[in-house]
Amino acid sequence: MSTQRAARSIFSSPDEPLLKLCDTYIGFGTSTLSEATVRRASLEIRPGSVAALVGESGSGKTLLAKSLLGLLPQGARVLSGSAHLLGRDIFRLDATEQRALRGAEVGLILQEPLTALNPALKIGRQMTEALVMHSGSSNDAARSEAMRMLDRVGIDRPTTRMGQYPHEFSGGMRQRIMIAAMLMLKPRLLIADEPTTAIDAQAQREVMALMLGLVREIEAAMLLITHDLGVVVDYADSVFVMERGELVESGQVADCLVRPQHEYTRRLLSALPGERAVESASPVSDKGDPCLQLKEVSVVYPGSRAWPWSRRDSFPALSPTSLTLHRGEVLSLVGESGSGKTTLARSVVGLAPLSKGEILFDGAPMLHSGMGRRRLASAIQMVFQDPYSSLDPRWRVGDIVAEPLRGSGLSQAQIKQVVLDSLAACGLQADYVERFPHALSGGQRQRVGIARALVVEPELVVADEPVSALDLTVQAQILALIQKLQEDRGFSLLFISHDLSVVEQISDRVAVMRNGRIVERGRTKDIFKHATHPYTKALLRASPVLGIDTDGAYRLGPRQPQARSVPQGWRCAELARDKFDGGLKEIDLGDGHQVLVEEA
Amino acid sequence: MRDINMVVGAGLCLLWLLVALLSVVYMPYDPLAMALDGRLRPPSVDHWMGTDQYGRDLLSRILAASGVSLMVSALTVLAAFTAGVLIGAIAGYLGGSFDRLVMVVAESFMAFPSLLLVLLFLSISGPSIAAVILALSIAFTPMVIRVTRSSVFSLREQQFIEAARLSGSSKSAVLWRHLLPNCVSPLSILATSMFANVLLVESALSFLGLGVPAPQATWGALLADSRQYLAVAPWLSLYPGVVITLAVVGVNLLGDGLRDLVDPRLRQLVEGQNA
Repeated sequence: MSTQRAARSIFSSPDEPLLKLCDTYIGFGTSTLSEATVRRASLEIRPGSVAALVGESGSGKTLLAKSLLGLLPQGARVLSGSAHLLGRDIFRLDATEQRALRGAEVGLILQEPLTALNPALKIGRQMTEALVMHSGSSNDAARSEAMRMLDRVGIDRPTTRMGQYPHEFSGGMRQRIMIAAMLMLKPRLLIADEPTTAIDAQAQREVMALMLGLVREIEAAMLLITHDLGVVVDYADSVFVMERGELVESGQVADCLVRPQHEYTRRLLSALPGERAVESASPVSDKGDPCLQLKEVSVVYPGSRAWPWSRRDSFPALSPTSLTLHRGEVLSLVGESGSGKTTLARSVVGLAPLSKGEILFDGAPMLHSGMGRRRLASAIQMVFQDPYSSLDPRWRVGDIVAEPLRGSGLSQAQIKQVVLDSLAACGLQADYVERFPHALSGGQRQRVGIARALVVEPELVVADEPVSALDLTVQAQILALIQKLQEDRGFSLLFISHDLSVVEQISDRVAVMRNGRIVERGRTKDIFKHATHPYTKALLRASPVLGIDTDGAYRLGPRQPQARSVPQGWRCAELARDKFDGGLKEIDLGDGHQVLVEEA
Repeated sequence: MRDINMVVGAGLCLLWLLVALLSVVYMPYDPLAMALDGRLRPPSVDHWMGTDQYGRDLLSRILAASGVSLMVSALTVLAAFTAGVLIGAIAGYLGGSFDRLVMVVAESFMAFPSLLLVLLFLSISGPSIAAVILALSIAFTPMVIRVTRSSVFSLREQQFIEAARLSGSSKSAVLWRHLLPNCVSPLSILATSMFANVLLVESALSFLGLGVPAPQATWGALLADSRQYLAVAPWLSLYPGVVITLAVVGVNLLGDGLRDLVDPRLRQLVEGQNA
């Protein structure tokens, strides 16, 4: 082992690139060089450095990364080019050599920690397996090394943890375990494919910092595949921007993202939230009557029970919450998964049954049964998160958009006209009517979903993470579309997102949720400039802001909110799940900016 | 490639139907007429498929059986699907205690081999064509319930179902317009394999003397009867065997083709390949 390590260090002197990829073409089947999916890709990574590969889905970045592991999908192959790692060309290795390479020399961290770990095996077994296989160390040595690594990545009680199964860990913890398992093998090159996309905002930074620390410690290099330019700016040394199979821009982060040369890089950057003049948003009082009022609404999901006769443990998804949405107002609910924001939205449209409290729509209690539901269907509509599952795969676009009009009493010709108008308003031409959803891109599907929601001219639209499943540049288009439609038609909008940066441009007011409660709410300006609750601040840190200097240079940096002070004797409430929620109250810091506090 | 399969399947099924219709108006010989001097004759110009142990013309018997076999299989699948899809879809969509009750009953039925259930039923009712169809339908319904129920169960959480509910559609409208059309793929596979299965179970019943009563021939019964004469008159096994195989293959190919045709995603694949 040690001689191996010494031999390696000859190659990995800091000046020499650890990985050198030259003019690589990757294609499917019998494609020629010009038809290849990845064309003329060249990149270099030095030991101890982090290179980011940025691009949208379909740009070929994952294919390129997989080629480095010899894990190209069925039918795909390297057409030409070379990838030298430690003096050997990865593309020229046979299957056995490539297998030896994976894990030992090149490690891979996947996006989804839930599926990357085998749910049927204890994590200890999964961690030690590769080490025993690759280095031939004994089971006991591997076990103690695994425990040491678990401790390093901040998993407490490693001895107990080794005997647990993946489902007993949270998403963030599973990702730490994956990192520990990979770095235990001391790979020279670590490929991380969107490693933090599936975990929540606060854990993201910790996981990234941890991964980088360990990579630097073993003097490895890292290829970070991501679509998040914020992560690139914070953690990467060099960046490679990929568009439709070609590397359109590459260089040091400090140069590339400050003075981007290529138009695509500029587009990616301008899709980020900018320092916009949020002051222009009209004050709350200018808006009309309340459209929607939630009064002490709570939702408790019945859990499972251990035995038929024992009591169900219930799960409070939403603690008693009051909220008012005015006519024509845009209110955003922000929080990570499990914060109760989606539950709140679903209770508004009647998909989640209320446990307590009541919801008033236009001043009258909502009825989600019988005739009440039909009436509500023309007044409240929803835009869904997943553009793939929200459209019936067997229906044509025209029928999908027309669905809310069923029973409206309009003639076929009228329905057709209304559907075409609605599609046109969402930027889709008339010929889309005959298409099936599978023939559309994610962005087009989401436009269809929006057209369906707006076809009945609703008073209230609930949009549940409408852009989170889309690529960055498409996100910006769909957001702009929603904003324009809202301004033109003046419907009230309840907008749900896990990403604060998404809502800044569109909202009049923002409510930040955590663990089933609203922890902070206020006008958009107040939340972004004067975030007071630590959780809001953490969310803000996760969304860097793009500024353009007077000389035209781009500047990506963290936001610097100035917290307002909380009155004496109180402090911002920390909402641990298992903690008793007594003694919490919302304090007004001025102009409707409220924060949830507890007694200090 | 898919198209060829579909054409072959449709052709075989059509042939079966035509033969069944033809047998009503014309047959080379009376399928029941015995000729003791012409027993176990190999295929010849007079008897294209030879004769059986009683000197009956095998071709005529196969023709006469085609209608019965077709009817038993088709009616059984139709009955099992009508009941199974309805019960399964409602159970899957509504969930709760109705779902649990249905699944307990269906699964306890499935715990027994279907043949055993059918035998039990027939030993009570006595053999007749109607009893055979009824018994087979009851035996095969639980499988349809289960497949429908699990398809609906996984579909009902999809967002387009919620979108339909929010558009004011009633539960039955959601079931008819969204859930059932999306179950067509798994159900069509089940239907074709069940069709073939029924044909085989019916043969087994005939073999045990509990199927369609003699002297009415069915393909299964012809195959069963031929067993004793396998050594001296192999054609008695060969021809019914070939016919059953062709019918089963034909139904399966047709089923696959139909499934691809009604599924818009696969349809595009087919069109793409032809282009």
